[in-house]
Amino acid sequence: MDNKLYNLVTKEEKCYGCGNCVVACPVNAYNDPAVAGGKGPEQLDKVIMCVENGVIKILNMGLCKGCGTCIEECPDGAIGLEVNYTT
Amino acid sequence: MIEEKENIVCPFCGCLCDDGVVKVEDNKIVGTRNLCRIGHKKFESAQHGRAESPRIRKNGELVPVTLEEAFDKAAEILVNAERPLFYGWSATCAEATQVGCELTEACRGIIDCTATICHAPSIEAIQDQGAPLSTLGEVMNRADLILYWGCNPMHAHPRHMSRYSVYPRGFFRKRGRKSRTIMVFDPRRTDTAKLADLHVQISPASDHMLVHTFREILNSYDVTHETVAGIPADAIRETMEAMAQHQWCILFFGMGLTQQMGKDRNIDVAIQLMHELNKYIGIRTTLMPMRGHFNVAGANITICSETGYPFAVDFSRGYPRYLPGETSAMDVLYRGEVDAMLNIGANPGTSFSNRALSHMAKIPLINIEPHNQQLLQISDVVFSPAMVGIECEGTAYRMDNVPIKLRKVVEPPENRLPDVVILTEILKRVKELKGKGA
Ligand code: SF4
Ligand code: SF4
Repeated sequence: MDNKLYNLVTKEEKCYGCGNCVVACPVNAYNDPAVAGGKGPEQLDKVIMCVENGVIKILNMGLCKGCGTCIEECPDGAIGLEVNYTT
Repeated sequence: MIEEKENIVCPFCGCLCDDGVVKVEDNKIVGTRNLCRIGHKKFESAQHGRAESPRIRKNGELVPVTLEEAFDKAAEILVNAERPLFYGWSATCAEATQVGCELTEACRGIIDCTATICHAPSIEAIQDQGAPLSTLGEVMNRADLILYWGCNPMHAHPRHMSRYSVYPRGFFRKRGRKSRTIMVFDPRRTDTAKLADLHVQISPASDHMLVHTFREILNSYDVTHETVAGIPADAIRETMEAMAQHQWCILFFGMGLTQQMGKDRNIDVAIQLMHELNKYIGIRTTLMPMRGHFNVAGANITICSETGYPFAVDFSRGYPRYLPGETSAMDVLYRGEVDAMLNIGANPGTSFSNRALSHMAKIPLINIEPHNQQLLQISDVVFSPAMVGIECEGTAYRMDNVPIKLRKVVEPPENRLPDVVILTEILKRVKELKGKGA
């Protein structure tokens, strides 16, 4: 289920792998209780992103509703939200 | 085939994140999940750049020898020394530190850990004032006011905010970040400060004054200066009022407070501030030092449980004495008092002053360190051990003093023994030699 309206863009070279975006994301927290409590995701098919090899990795873009919580919680601009108004 | 090992504890920083996934293929670490950038790097680089083991310096060169020969040489150095120093202990397990304490006593030496150059002032202040401490689990479930003072977890403990303090939803803080207020006290606009609700950008080295001003307000005294620590007095009053709106507060503090002018006095007053916030306003207040190495808290706890004192313990009289500033590692090296040294789980090459290092270069140095580091150039006996938490098991203490069992992920390379085995072998030989009256 590809979501054409929103697109998360990541800059791995800037990312600390802190997981702020992963845990702050309400979709991740709702779908995976481990994430709600601050842990890394246990159900990888139900979360939008996770930290892999020390940097952010988008797993399921289709789940993103475009709330922008993740980008607010990244101090370094390593994750950004693009809204595609033409679709 | 790639095997995913789950619930691996990260042996890098004091957060000891215990939800890591490490991917292993043919005993090689090929990737990680959930660990931050520095935690990932620790696992990724663990199997590269390893020092040859064991080696002894002969005619100015480090040459490979058998383990037996290296144990004998290390024991000989320690037995012949009058006042050896046993330093490090932060990047090894509590079990190794236990043996280290016994070894120090047998050699009538001094044992000190890396806290001596980081959170020793916190420990001294806690001894002076007592400390309202809590676990990180309590912070996650209860804290609605989080103060980061003189620390930058986004760089030093990257998962601290997401795993324990700010972002997780807790029992009483169901909305996670939205249920909490974050205040950062730092002269710099750090990445942590960028995420805070309030960044109090104080002038450098004026923390003590600012804490006292908060206490003045709490104790109903007038703030007579227009600005304190570069902050207008009205803004300080407003900050105090904002703090008072909360129920459960934790103060996380780092080197910016402990190694600042005033040192343990800064922590003394910070503890008093927490106490008064509790006493006069009824906020539940606790505080926690942001411990750096993954087991530096454990080094203090283990040395304390074995000897009665947390660091800088001197056995030269046959019984433990504790005189920070007198028996701490940097001071005895400065004064050229120690005549041999064993370094384990630390890298003084990057953290000690030149004067201390130049004395280290003059005395026999036994170095137990997995990787090639600067200190090898002046080491006389080198052991490259199995890495705790990656190649062997052990116990480490998280920054909130909770013990966590570190796990073994891959087999160590040949000839790499755990720290605890290396120290036990040296101790055995030291006791034999002492028994012979050497
Ligand atoms: S993208 Fe930003 S918030 Fe997310 S893990 Fe990386 S640094 Fe942290
Ligand atoms: S925050 Fe510390 S313990 Fe956690 S993954 Fe990063 S380096 Fe390891």
